[in-house]
Amino acid sequence: MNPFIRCAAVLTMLCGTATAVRAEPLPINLFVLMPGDTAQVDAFEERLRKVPYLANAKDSLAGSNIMLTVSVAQVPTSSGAASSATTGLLAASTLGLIPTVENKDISVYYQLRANYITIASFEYTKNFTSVSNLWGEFGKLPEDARQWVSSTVEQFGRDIQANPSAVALQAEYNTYFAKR
Amino acid sequence: MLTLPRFLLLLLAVGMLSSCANTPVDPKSLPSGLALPKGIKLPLERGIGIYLSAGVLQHSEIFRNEIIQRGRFTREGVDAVAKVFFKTVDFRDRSTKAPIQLMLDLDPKWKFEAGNARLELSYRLFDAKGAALSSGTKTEVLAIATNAPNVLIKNMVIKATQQVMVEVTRVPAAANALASTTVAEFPPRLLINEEAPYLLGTGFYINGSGQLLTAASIVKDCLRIDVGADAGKRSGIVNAQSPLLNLAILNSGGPVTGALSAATARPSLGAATTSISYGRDKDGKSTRGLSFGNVTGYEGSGGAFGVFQFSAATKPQTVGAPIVDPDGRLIGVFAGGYTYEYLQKNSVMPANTYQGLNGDIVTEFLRRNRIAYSTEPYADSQTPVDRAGAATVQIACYQ
Repeated sequence: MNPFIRCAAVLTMLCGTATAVRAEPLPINLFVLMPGDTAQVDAFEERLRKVPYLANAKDSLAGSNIMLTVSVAQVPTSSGAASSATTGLLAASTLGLIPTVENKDISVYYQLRANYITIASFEYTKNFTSVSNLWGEFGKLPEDARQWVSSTVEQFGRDIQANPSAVALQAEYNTYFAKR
Repeated sequence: MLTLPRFLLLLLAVGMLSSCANTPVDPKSLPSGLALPKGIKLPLERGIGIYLSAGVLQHSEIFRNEIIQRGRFTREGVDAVAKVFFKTVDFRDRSTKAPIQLMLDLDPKWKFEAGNARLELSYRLFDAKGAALSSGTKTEVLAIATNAPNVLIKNMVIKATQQVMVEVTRVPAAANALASTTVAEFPPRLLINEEAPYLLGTGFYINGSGQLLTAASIVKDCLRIDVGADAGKRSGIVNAQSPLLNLAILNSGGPVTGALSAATARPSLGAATTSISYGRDKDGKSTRGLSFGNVTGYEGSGGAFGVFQFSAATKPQTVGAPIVDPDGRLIGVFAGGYTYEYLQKNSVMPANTYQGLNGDIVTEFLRRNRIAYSTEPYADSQTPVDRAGAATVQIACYQ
């Protein structure tokens, strides 16, 4: 065969192969566990879906065997528990006039699993001190903590894109299931 | 009657109780009544390896809109106490290859009932050569009066582990142990919980060399995999696995007859299906179940991919079960991963309808991992139940 044609055939094959398979984002069942009202959770989910890895993540994909779980935990620190107890006593004895002061570590966990096997997990933690009224909604995050929790989405987006296991999962999915 | 002063007292009591449960416990501070033997100074100039099974370490659950990472906080609690008692601490799953003179196998069991959390922490202590030195169970009970359940878990683990570690210091050989090993070199067979398999599933032979297909979720992180049961039992070793597809190949080390052959064409709608699977009854005994059905669709529901739907009166008991056509040829694998109750409750999938991983995806997985399989018609004539029955075995994962 004419070397030029042979070269062109190889290039066409390579280019054709490259364009024939369209890389697709994983169908991910999104499960967000977060204190707060529905609007706040929806806004958080919307921000999550802007992460390229999660372009096809929805909380309605219960049939997908790939799941991303996002949860928020509040863990009192030793000093925080002591101040909470003290100010809690004061609040109770003053019928709520004196607010309670709490110091906590707030952690956001992102866990990616396939068939309940953990592929990758990420954790972001920050310390917060909050002042709350005795009669306020129990367990609701203060505003600055909520904003920080939302801001972890962008860091998570960078981290998951750089995680070898998460990238390999997406590549494997496209190997078997990408539309040709 | 609840007067205002009584109400305030009640509020104070609840607040104090809650804040006590929320306060992280200091692992260095032994509770009253728990004392070290005379002459023991901490930390001991020894290394201790610790084994907590993968099932324990990965355990998490949802409680009051929060994920309770029981496994993670169990590790943190044990680690915190172990470092008070021993100069070197090495966990088996994250080994730093540090030299150890003792190996401690811990098995926590939790119960939550009547407003209390109860932790029974069983332990077995070995020396570096594998000789058993001590064993027992320590119990910790606490009222669940907390808005920080992860702290409660960690606190209880710390207190129970303190009891265990004090017992360890009472073993003369523990303080004087000289022979060393590493957690990786310590015989895993000594750490296995032989009471019952951690997970039970189904697998089937895919070729005459004794290689099997099963579910990756069943054979992950096992210290031992038993293929089959009773006299025909073999050991399985994972050759390849895919969490995405929930498939794994096991080598069982011996030739077999009766491996399944794969169908070459997609089953037609309405085609009969047969599946054999192994599970456990309520008493923990192994059971074998048959599932007969029909192919009802080529697409999954609710975001499922690479699956077909089949309806059956009874669901295959466990993942990894083969699904065969009327000729006994493999058309799919019951790979699970779908919350059927949720899908059916929300009318995404009809009742008694299940999903199997497509046969062509299964054979592609085999090809990609260079596993031999047959697509030839069978030389003899058998019913699909006999065909699947000859190839299907119980898979037991021990941790």
